[in-house]
Amino acid sequence: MVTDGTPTIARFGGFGLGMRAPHYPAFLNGEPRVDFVEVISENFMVDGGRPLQVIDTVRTHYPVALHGVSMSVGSAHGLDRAYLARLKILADRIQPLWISDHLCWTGINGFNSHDLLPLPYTAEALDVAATNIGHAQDALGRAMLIENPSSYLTYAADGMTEWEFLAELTRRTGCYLLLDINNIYVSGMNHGFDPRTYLAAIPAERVRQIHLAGHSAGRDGLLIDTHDQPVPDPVWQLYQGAIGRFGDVAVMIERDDDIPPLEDLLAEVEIARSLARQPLAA
Amino acid sequence: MTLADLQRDFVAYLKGDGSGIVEDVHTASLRGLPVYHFAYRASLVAALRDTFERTHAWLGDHQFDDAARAHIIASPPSSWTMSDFGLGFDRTLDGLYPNDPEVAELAWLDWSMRRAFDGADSGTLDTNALTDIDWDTAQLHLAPTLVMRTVSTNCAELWRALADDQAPPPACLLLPAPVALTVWRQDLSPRFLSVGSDEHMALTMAADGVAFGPICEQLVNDDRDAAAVSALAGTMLARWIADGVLVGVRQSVRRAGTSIQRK
Repeated sequence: MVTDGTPTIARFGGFGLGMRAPHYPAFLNGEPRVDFVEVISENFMVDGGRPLQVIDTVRTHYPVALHGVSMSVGSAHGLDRAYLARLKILADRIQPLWISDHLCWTGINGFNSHDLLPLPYTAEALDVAATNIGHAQDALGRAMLIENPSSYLTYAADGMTEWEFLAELTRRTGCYLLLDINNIYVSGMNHGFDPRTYLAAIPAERVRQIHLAGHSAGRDGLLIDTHDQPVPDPVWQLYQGAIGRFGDVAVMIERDDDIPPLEDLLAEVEIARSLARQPLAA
Repeated sequence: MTLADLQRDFVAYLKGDGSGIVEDVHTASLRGLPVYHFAYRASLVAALRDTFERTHAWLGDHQFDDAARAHIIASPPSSWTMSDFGLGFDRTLDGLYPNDPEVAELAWLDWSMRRAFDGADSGTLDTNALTDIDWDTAQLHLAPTLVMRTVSTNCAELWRALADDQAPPPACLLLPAPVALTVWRQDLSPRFLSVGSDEHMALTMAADGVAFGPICEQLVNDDRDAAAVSALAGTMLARWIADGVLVGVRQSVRRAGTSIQRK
């Protein structure tokens, strides 16, 4: 159940881009016409030098969302306190829109795979993730956004769906959701569920951000969440339905590899903006 | 099976130490398990390629990736940041290429330059406050990113040549005698420099907190009298200030219980 006093996160409606190194010069000048940028938290959780100069300058031009990949909210052995302390220092410095990370685990017992590994959707995993998110929110002094991962396997012990798991997680912890529409599509195709069923079951009042990205076809017929392609039509279609349901949330193009010219990504941002004006019934 | 058991089995699978996780994965989705096995290695190899760019260019894809995979086995990642994964890669390479010392030395240089890039910021040295310093008792504050080591090859020349991918790198050479390399960041730019043995000694002593007077005493030898040492020390200090190696001077003067610090 949500702890009394858990901070809330106000809605921020806008269209943004994940800021990646090849495009730093443009963002440093405040040139791209976006409403916010998202950065990978860990890239700026450093002692000094150019990364902090970059984030400080960009912050003068744009609201910034911090998106992490290393919190490991599903680790059975709890969170890394040093990581949380570092993240809080960065958050205090730049006052982000919010802090997000993934529903996953990355390691255990001092090992870190640096990959977003899938959780079993069991009662025990729900307890672990809720406890860890609670600790993180207490340490950071703010509510978090949790993002749905893409996945390539499911577990025999699964006792609930991912959307049921996420909905219960928000109820227990007061966390909010970052929905990656591409991840829902990828996992749906890999595991045989209808992405529209997933989206329909998400508590709309907890959604604060949407990621849009592309994927690739892997071996054995699996879709792989490569984030190295333009947003494909099926993802745009799902988005058009989602935005009608989730309303005024932050929408972002996320590209992590094979980074194209900035103009290409900004064109995708404009597509997202345009489609939001023509939402479909979810 | 607890969550901790499952995660332990998954980690063993990623490391190639066991396949118990197969029992926990839904049979219909077993084809997804190798995706994680592949991604674990691929992302770490890519991270090392990025950090050790010149070493990668020197070794080529095949040899570098083999070395990277050896490092993954020898030193599995443990830090929350992937940036730390390169720690000790120079030692891994030293073990793999014992007869090619330039490989590990290039890797040390790659690593040190990357660490300097986002290492702790330096304070700004107020040169106006240096005029009334008693240098005999002064302790020098060096850039927090400064690291040093001796090298036996022309790795510095190789590193610079490899940074310019238009020109073929020179041949690797053993130096007539080992030299010291210093790496640090000046403002926002990582830098490195070869320094002589006297300067290496002086910087090492300064980093250990030895006051400038005793450092200068160590510079006296049969061929260098006090006047020559004074000139040498002045030259070194001027360059350290200009290069951003010297970022502060602290002087503790115990007079009637007072302590004066200047930075």
